[in-house]
Amino acid sequence: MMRLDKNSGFIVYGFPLGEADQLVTCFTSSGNLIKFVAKGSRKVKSKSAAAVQLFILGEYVIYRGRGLPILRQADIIDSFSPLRLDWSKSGAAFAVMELCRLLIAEEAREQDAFKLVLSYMLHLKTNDYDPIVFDSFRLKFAACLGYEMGFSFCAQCGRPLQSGWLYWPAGGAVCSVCKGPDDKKFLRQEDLSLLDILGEKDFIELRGHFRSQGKTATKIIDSLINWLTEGKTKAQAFRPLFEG
Amino acid sequence: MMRYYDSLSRLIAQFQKLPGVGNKTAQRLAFYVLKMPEAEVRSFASTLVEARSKLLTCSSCGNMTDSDPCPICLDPKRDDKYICVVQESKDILALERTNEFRGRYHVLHGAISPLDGIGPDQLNLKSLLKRVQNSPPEEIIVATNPNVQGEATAMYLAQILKPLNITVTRIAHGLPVGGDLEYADEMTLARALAGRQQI
Repeated sequence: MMRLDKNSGFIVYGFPLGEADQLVTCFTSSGNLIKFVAKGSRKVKSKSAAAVQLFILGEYVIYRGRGLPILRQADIIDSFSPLRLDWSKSGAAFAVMELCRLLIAEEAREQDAFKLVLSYMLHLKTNDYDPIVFDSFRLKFAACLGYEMGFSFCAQCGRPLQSGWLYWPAGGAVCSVCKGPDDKKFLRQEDLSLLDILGEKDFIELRGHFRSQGKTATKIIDSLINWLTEGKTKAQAFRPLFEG
Repeated sequence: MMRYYDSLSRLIAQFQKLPGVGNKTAQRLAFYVLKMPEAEVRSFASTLVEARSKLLTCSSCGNMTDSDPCPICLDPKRDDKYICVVQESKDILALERTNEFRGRYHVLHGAISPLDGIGPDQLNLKSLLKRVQNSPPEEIIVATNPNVQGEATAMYLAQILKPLNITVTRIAHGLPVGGDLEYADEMTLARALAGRQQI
């Protein structure tokens, strides 16, 4: 049966297919991933070429037949052009798109995650790139997907923490009693409070703050992302290049 | 199964390895080859093998060539003041068809794409820097594809070439010749307006 679907969302990945087509992955506003073929979208005169570029927020009409879904019509809602012309911003946007692709399932309904991605992309569009804001986004994104991490209380016994040890499977930081025999990363009190702040404050409030502690937070959140993606993230390795 | 069918299915499987060729197309190509005169098939096969064994990468520009350096790098009529940086060797063929550019080329063999794990180290950039330091051109024209990966590569090139005091330019973006304005998307139109020229 012929079926036309209308979806709006971010283009998170594009893979060349055949002579001039692309297999596109889109993170929709309904909070799931959809894949469709954008026929001829690599040709210069293609009408849909611009709308299926990475970082584009667009509206896509998709025909679902017997094979792969095919793009029938595409309109750009926001092109996020400033991100394409700024080295650091495009580095962050690459990483955001990769997180969506790796952590969102095709049958998911992660609407809060979509709203968070949209708000971070809009923030990035109008503000300078700030590593601490990007780390805050990553921590909040994990929380949206059900991986909310706690750093004020032990994630296993609930005891208030002055310092702690990082243990992602338990849900954040654990105390010395719950730490267990395995080697875990030690977190000072200032690290714990910074991680708490990153998970709570708005992007605007965080801008320009915590520069001195930023690198520690980045390393900790990198390890969270590695744990969540099972080490599949590629864009993370390029962060020093984009920030340098 | 008969041996005849074994060799036919092997031929179909080989055609299927080519990009954009599915089972049906592979079958069509295989049957077409079987109908060709034997001499033509032999010539076709030997050309394939010869091209694969003889073609190499130019040590100067990275272009695919029969001889190193390539004919473009050896051509004395070419203007050393301009180097056009492209993603793939096939892009040189497209630019050469215009008959507008008489400078030299440099092939990167890809573009920066963090999502695919491709960074500057995976591109043919060291030889570009060496080339530029040995005989600095007046201008480097970045002709990478007009997509996010191409833009990122262009930005990176501009960053690393800036300290060498070389003008780095990007090919223009805009409307294709022969198209209708009403069908153009807002991104292309915005770029076309930004890159407008006095007449």
